[in-house]
Formats: sequence, C-alpha cells, structure tokens
Amino acid sequence: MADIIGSILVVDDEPQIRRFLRAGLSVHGYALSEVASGEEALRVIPRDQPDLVVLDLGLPDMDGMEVLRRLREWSQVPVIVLSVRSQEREKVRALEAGADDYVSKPFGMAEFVARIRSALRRRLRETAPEPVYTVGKLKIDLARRMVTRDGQQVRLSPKEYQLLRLLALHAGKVVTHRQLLTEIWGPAYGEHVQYLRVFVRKLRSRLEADPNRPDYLVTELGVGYRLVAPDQFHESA
Amino acid sequence: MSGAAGLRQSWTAIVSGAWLRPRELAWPVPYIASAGIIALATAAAFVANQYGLKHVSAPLLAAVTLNAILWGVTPSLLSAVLCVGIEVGLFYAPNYDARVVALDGLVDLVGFSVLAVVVSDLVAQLRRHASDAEQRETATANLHAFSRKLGGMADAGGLYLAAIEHLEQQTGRGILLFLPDRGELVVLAGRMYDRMVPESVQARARALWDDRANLAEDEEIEVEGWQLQVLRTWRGPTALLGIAGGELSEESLEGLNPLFDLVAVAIERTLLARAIEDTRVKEARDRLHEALINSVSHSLQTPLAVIIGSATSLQSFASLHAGKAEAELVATIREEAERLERLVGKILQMTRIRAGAIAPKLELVELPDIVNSALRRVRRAVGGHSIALELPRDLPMLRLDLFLMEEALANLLENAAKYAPRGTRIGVRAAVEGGRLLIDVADQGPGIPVAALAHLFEPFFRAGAPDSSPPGTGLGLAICRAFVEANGGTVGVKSVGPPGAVFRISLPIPRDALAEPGEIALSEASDG
Repeated sequence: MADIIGSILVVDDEPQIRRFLRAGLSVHGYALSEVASGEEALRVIPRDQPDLVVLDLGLPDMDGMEVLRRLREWSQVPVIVLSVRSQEREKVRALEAGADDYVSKPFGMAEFVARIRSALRRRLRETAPEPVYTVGKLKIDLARRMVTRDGQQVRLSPKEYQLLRLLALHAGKVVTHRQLLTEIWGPAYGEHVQYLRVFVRKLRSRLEADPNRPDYLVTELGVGYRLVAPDQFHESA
Repeated sequence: MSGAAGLRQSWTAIVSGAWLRPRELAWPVPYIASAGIIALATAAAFVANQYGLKHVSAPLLAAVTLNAILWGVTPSLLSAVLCVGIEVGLFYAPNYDARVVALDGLVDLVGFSVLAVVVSDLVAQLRRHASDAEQRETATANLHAFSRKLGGMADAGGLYLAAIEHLEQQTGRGILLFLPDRGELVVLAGRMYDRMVPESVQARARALWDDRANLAEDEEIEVEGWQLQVLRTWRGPTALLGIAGGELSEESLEGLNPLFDLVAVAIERTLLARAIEDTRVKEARDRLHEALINSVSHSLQTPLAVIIGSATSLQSFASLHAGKAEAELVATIREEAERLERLVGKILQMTRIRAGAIAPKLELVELPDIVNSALRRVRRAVGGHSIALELPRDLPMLRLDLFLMEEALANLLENAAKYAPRGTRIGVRAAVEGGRLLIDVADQGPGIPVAALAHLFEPFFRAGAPDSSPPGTGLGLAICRAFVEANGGTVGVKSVGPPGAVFRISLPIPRDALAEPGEIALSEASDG
C-alpha cells in the first residue's frame, strides 16, 4: 500500500458507499475514517482534524447543509459534497454554505480522486497564492495584473480582470453567481446574474478561441462559472 | 247615493295615494263614474245657486279636475264639455244676450278643456313614475333576497339550480346554464324546459365558449329560438346562459343585467372554490408521488453508484496489475452499469412526467451554456461522432428551466449518436426565425422511416425492428418532448432524410430578452 498522503472523513449513511470509497481512496494513499451521521461528524472533526471531508447531502439525522453550516462556523477544512442528479439546485446552496466542490452520484473513482487532489491543492494555494496561474495557453499574472494568451497580452477592463482574478484564485472550483456578484459588485447585486453574463461573454470573446465552446471559462449550469484547472483542461478541436 | 259612495271611495283613494297606481277598469266605468261626479257637482251648484251664489262654475270645475285625476284625459275632456253645457243650459239667465252666452261658454269650454288635459297628463306622469319606482323597488328587493340566498349556499349544484329557477321566474322563459367543468362544457336545464336540449344549440354554445376570449362585451347570439347570453365577471366569462323563446327586448335585458352579474359572480365563486380544492388534492398527490419517486430513485441509484464507483476503482487497479481479460471484464461491468443507470434515470423521469410532477423553474439563460452542458453530459455517448456547432454570437436570452432543457437536448444528441454511424457528424445549429429560436440537431444516419413518424415521440416506441435497432429504451424522445413542452416550446422532425434526420426544437423568445445593455452601461460607468 502507498504512503499515507492525507486523511479523509467520509460522512454518509450508506455503508456500501462508505466501503467502496474506503477501498477506492486507500489505493490512492488516503487514510479514511467514516461516520454515518451529521451529529457524529461534528463531534469527530475537531478531534481527528481530517485534511478533507466528503459529505453526503442526504443524511438521515440532519440536512447535510446544516452540517456544513455548523462546521463552517469554526473550521475551514475542505468539504466535497456528494449529491444525486435530482438535487441540482442543492449544489448552489452547498457551495454558498462553504462547500469546496460537489460530485454527483454516480461518479468514477479517477474523477473523484482528481477533485480531492484539486480541493487539497486549492486550499494550499489559497493560504499562499502563487503569483502566476497557467492553464493551457492562458497565463494570469496576479502580481503584475497581466493576462496573456499564447504569449499575446490580453487587454481587460478593471471589472473583467477582477472577475478573471477571482476565478483564478479558485481555479478548478465552481464559484457561484452570487459569490462572484457579491465579491465584485457588492452584496446589493447578489441577484443580478445578467451583469455577470455580459462580463463573462466579454471575457470569453477575449480569452477563448470559440466563445460559444469555451475551453477555459466554463459554465456550470445553474450554479456558476469555473476557470478550469490544468488537470481539467481539454482543448477542443 | 252611489255617487256619494264613489266620491268617498275616490277620496280615500286620493288620500292613500292609491290613485297613483295604474288602473285597469272596464271601459264604461270611468264614464259612468265621471257622469256621477258631474251630477253631484251640478246638484251642489244648483243648491248654491238657490242661495244666490253666482259662481256656479266652481263645483263644476272641481268635478272636471277630479275626473281628470281619476279617469284620465278622455273622460275628463267629455266632462269639460258636459259641464260647460250644464253651466250654460241650467244656470245662465234666459234673458242674457245670446252672443254673450256663446262667448262665455266658449271661454269656459277652453278653460275647462285645458284644465282637463293638463291635470290628466300630470297625473299620468306621476302615475308612471310611481309605477317605475315600485317596480324598481320590487326588483331590488328580489335581487337582494336572491343574493342572500346564493351567498348562503355552500353546495355548488344547489346554487346552480337556484339560479336557474330564479332566472326562469324573472324572465318567464326556460333557462339553460352552460358551465365549464374540467375542460368540458356541461349543460343544466331548468324546470320550464323539459325537452332535450337541441344538439345544435349545445354545439353553438361550445363553439362560443371555446372562442370566449374573442367575444365582444355585449354580443347577443340567437340559435334556433334560444338566446345565448355570456355571463361574465371582471375576470372574464364564467358561464353561458341559454334563454328560450328568442331574443329578449332591450328593456328586459337591461332589467336582467344585474341578475346576470349576480349569477356570474356566484358561479365564479363556486368555480374558484373547486379550483382551490383541486389544487389542494393535486398538491397532496404530487407530494406523495415525489416522496415515492425519490425513495425508489434512491434505492435504485445507490447500488448503481456503488457498482460504477467500484468498477472505476478496479479499472485504475487493473490497468496496473491485471491482464487484458480482467481489464475488459471490469470495463464491461462499468459500461453496463452506466447504461443501466441512465436507463433508470430515464424511467424515473418518465414517471415524473406521467405523474405531472414536472415543475419548470424558469430563468433567463443563454443557449450556448445549455448546449455545452448537454454535450458534456453525453460526451461518452457522442464521443465517436464529431460535433459541429453553429451558434450565432448574438443569440437572444431565453426563459427556460436549465436542467429540463439540458436533458431535452442531451436526449436528442444521444438519439442522433445512436442511429448515425460512428465517425459521422452531428450538427447543432441555432437560428432566430419569426420571433422564435430554432435549434436543429442533424445527424448523418439513415433517416427516419415515414411509418415511424407518427409515433416517434411516444414513450417506449422505437423505430425499426426490435432486434435490429441499436439498444435503447424508446424513452429519450418522449422525455425530450415533455421537457421542451414544459418550457413552452415544441419539438418535431424537420427532415426525415435521407441523408440523416433533422430534429427541430422551437422555443419562444421572451420579450425582456434584449433589455440589458442600458443596465450594464450604468454598472460600467460606476466602475471604480
């Protein structure tokens, strides 16, 4: 077995799910602990201090969202939420309550491991941001406030840059409409998704080869936008 | 003596106001009574004259006035002539100059006649007013009583019958009531019309009702001796009324209008009450359905998620440690589990559609986002095909439920990938035409057999022989249609090919789709 590279707490009431996660993740070098309820999770996390929490939204004793909110009152541990497809609208609430990512069941193990790595790395980056973010042909220099594509400098308006910077800081992760609007325009604009759409359209027309089929600035339907991480990047033909 | 009795009677009548009522007496009565009154006045004048009084015309004048009041213009004019004759014949001294007598008589005749006409006309007017007022009062009292009765009725059926009965009483005609009932127009008949309602009248009523949105406010329709009357409230038509015996006069219609309004409101009240009840029942049913579907969905999807997850774990293992056969077996497990998962998902969606549990959450969205998301969803299914997107850059925003529309498109794409050979192209093209947004999904497959066209969007229908066609459920297109329609759009086949089938989704463009640049310019201006 590989060396332990991190500890993960799985919060799920389905024993079969816990079992396959344990088997699947341990192969990749993660030490797993498991609980079956929200109460238990909130009791165990301060004691065990896991590196990451996998939280099922459909827990029997407590809404997964409630667990997330209570956890976020005192802990910044990365949380990946598990949901099912019919709970699409729950994702936004989970992200806004402080989840780092969500994965819909069913999911493949390779994809899941990539999400875990990405969340762990992001947490590192957020505490000590790298000055230059590179994905594909796109380079965002946060220190010099400069964006280049294919070595060519891209001119952006201040708001466009702010938007791109925010997405780059959370690269690989979906940032919800409300989070972007609140951060850039202020809390009063939390519902003005239209603003965001227009700026995303402008950004895409400057960054993407085909703005209708974006490679970098991806829409997560009904949730928000994501600047793809290097390991998520597939350039379209 | 009878004259005195008549006078007393008349006097009582005057004092009580009863004289204002219209009277209908046999024709000789007013004339005989007039004569009686004049005889009485003549006697009075005669007595007065005996005592040396010269003004004998006073009692006669009174008699003419009284007759005008009591009997109207003709008897009072005759009274005037008679009285002048009596005055001239009985009371003028025989030694008077004949010319003076003739002149005096003429003056009196004119005066008496004018008096008779003016007084009888005034009285006739008064009578009319009084009669109108009385009728109005009765009508209002009736209306109030009826309104109270309707207001107190909880049972809709009883209310309808009471309304019909009352209308029959008021109009004296047979009444039919046409009521909307869960999409149908049912007819209720009153007691005054006990035959079958003619089919043509019913058909006309139905046609009228179906076209009620375009009906003029006071449209009157007559069919085979029935007048059809629309009952409406401020919210629009609530029911139709059939009135037997042909068209009603303008006045009687005017009188009936308040009653129609009252009935319309009462009917609307029952319809609204029923709508509320229906909604409550539907909500309860939907909640139950949703709980059931969620529970089934959880029980089916959890094991599949575990199988798929485990298989993918094994795959990453197997690629390192196992041989080709093992790797293939694991890949098979994974692929089949994924297929099953997709199938279960479709069956659950179809169940939701059948249960009427699709509640679209509409928001302004951009089509390219939905197309890209749908392509990502089905990237494994369409991986063997090349995708050609033709989305103009200036597409308008749409008001849609994102996830329903994504699913609808994903199903069309999957369908195209299933029937068109690998390596061919699937085209997705959008265009604005005639105020709608059209999305065409074109493949380079064999096309659609014309025989299959009529059933293509039916659940569990599959084109071609069951064993020869590619594997599938026959649910994709049915789901696609249900979801597109839930978004206010339509989907159909634009071309059956060959070469290739083209499916077309047509979506309404919302009116506020282009109302953004002003707002945005503002926000840029305030940009720090």
